[in-house]
Amino acid sequence: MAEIKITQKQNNSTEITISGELTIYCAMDAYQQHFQQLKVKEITLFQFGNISEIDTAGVQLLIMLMKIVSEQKSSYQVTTLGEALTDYSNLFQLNRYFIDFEDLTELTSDNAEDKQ
Amino acid sequence: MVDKTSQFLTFTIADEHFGMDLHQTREIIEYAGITQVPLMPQFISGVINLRGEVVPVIDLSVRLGRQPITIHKRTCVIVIELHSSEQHCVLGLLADAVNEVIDISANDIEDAPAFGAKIRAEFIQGIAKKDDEFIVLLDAEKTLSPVELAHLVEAELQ
Amino acid sequence: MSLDAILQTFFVEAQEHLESMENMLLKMDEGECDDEMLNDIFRSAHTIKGSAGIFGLDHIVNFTHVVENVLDRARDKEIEIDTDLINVIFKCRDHMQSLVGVTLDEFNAQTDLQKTDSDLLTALAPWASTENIEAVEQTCTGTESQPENKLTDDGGTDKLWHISLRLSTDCLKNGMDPLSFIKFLTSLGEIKHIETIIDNFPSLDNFDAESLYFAYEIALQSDASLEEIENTFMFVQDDSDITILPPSATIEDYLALIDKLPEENQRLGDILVKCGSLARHSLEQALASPSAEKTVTDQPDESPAEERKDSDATINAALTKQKQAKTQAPEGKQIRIDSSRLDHLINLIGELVINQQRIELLSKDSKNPPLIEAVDDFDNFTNQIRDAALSLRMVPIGGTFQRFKRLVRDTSQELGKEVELIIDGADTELDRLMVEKLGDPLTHIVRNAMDHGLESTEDRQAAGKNIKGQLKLSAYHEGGHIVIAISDDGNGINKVRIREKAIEKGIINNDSQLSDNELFHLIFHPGFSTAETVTNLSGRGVGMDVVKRNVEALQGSIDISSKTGLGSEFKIRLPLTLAIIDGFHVEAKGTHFIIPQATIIECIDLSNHQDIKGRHCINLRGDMIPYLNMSEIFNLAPSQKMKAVDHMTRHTAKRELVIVQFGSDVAGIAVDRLNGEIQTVVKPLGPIFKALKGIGGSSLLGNGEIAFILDVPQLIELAIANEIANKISYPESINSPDK
Repeated sequence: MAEIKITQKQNNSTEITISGELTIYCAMDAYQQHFQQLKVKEITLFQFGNISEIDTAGVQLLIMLMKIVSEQKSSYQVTTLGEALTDYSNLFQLNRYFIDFEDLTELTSDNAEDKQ
Repeated sequence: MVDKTSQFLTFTIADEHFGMDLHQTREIIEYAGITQVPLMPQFISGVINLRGEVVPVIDLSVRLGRQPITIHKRTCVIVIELHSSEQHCVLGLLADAVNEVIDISANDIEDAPAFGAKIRAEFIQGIAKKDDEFIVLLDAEKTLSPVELAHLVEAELQ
Repeated sequence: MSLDAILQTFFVEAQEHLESMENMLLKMDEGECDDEMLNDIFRSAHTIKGSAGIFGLDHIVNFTHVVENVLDRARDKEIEIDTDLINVIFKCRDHMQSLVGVTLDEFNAQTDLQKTDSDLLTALAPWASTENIEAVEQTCTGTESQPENKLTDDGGTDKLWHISLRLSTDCLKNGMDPLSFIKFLTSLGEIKHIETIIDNFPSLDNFDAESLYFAYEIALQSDASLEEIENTFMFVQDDSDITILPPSATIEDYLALIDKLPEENQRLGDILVKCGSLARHSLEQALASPSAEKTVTDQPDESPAEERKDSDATINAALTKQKQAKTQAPEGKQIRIDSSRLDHLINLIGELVINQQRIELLSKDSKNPPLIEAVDDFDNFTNQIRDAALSLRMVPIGGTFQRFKRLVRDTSQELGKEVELIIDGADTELDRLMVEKLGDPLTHIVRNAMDHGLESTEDRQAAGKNIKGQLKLSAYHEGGHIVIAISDDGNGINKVRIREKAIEKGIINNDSQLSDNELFHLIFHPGFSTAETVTNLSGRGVGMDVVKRNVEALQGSIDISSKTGLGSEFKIRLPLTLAIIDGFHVEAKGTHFIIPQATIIECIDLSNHQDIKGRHCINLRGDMIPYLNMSEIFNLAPSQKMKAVDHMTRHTAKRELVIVQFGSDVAGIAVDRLNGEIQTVVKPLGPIFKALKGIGGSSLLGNGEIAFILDVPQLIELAIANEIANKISYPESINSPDK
């Protein structure tokens, strides 16, 4: 089971720490309990370093989380990534989401413009 | 003994009161004739058509070592379902009347008496008392075990 | 589909592949060997490995990987196929079957399986390439061998496939994580680019964390065939949209893909360009002009023309191969249904048939001609529906027979006898339920025939017979039954030996007079065995009685015929189906009975015939027909016990005799009334009534009453028993006035 900690910090930032197994078995709970009503400050920091296991449902949840955060105009940063997520990200070539930080809002079809 | 309450369906056969775990009973239907199965021992009354299912009907009275039940206008068939036996098994039981569903606390159930019951002790789960009347709580799994019934049929046919 | 259901599909398919491997190996063993057969075996192994990989069943993957590579080398003519190799592959196939039956955890817990694993891998080593020996060693030492594929190592070839995945949103819930497909693709080749499309994410409130919103566009560089790539997704194809564009795909193919996908065209185009599957300028041209399809002949990738040709040839070959595979195996047109659903349907149709009969009764009573006509039509359709539904459950016996090829091969090696197996009537269909339950009895009879029936090579030679013994399995229809016959050209059943043994075992008396048939049937007696030496295979005295019981449980019967020096034949007779039968409704003392129509020869009026010598036996056109009185044998009325009353009623009441036949025996069934033909659903009477002989089940009549279905073979047995009893209880004098 994933453990999710959301800390609203003094310096106008929100820190979201996820640790443990983030898989389909807990994705629904995690989303409904922590993310659906999530409010973040100007800056959001993600700590994914302690995710011990992740599957597609889990990664999808993280992407959704990032979308939620960008929709609130908060700028975010993944501070730690961890082995499980790194493996997944390498296999699916998702590094631009987790390391290179492309703006998620630009990647959706509404704003699809030839960026190259 | 832990005070645990169970529900029992109580019924009457020839002035005697019996109870059976409610979970084992499925429904009660009116007696509307029965098809006798050839060569069967007396405790097997026959078979009935229960909405397309052919269900054996047992004369519990004979099974418990008493006279065969007398069929009258109010005779009914208690349909029971046995799960713990190897095969899932549906059986009908003939009764003179079905009385009520009662809650009996485990504390109020006494062990089967070693004498006087005239019923094989292993068939009885216990004896309960209600309104000054004794209710014999039957152990359906033992009384109506399909395996044992089949053995009895086999013995009869030999 | 739940994960369990998908796994189930995997097991079923793995089983089919293992069976097909076995069949091919058997053919190869017989000396028929061509490239296509090797290809088939290879493909089977490969598919099993692939599917197992998807489920993370590494124990299957690791082992099969080595087998597959040995097969691959054989295919490439790097190694020669000889009996030794076939023998090892046979064993490997069996081991794969064991592996498919266990989970990874179970495998890790079972040391004997692990031992077989490493033994077989060692046995395979001489044929495996050096690369594989490493794999062998790896597996032997317990380190996990990576399903790294050598195909990628061949390098250089630039076969770029494009795979577009729009998986079902329920796929995660069903336990299928795209992770496993992508991982598997990496074993087929190199993923050049994978684009995870997140366009389809719903709004905050509609987000379901257990649904899949990701879509994928993948560029895969691989030498694998279309079939192999397709197989990666064999378990999700049903509700997902998967497009695989081969290296030879044209710009039109890509445009068609872009059009088909839900995402916006330009954006998809970009993604495809990113994947490297499509050149930017081709895309721009194509998207710019709507009439592009006609003019643009650009290459999907910018590979030189020669390579393009090369890849064209490959894909064409792959396609032809696939086409061939489809024509060979019509499975492509079949769907799998859970057999319990089918049973439910058949049960419902059974009820429909009963209801239809009730309506028919009512319509006849109504004397309303248009209604009667309409009901007649309805009747006609109901029958068709019934037949169609029942045919769904029919399967050819051939599959079961095929399995005996292997048994015969192995057993003949073990016994040192040469045996030829002949199969006849493989197309004969029978109820699937019966096929499943026939496996064991048939196995036992076949083993018995090989062990005891067929003589040793020396004995055959001495007897002037062909050294190769013949064993024949055949199936055919006979009078409403299906007959499965197992015959051999061995020495026949040793009647003297059976007699001695039966006396020794106290089954019969020293002075018992038995017909050949009765004598043969003694081998079905529990605890009977005639084998002079107890072999590994049979002769333990258990089995033949079980065979008989199994066959009887299927409402069938078993007959033996044997000729000394010429051989024996076991004939199993089975009803066509177990669910619904055509019956004949009769009545005796108010009790309803149904006689299976297929057993009936004719009905006659018994009052016109006289008993012969006080026994229940009549002379019908010169034939002596013994008969059974239903009310008597089932003790239907107490007064029947009184012979005098019986004697009187016999001449007052009109009585009918139904003449039935089973096998070669003919007997009569005496009843009070004939009510006519009826279609009826067999309802088992349940375990309590198991000991009741003569009644095979029950059935509901149109009016809701219960009728008993007569078990004709058992009744005929009873008739014989009664014949003897009657001689005692009906002294001739009582019935002599009849004459």
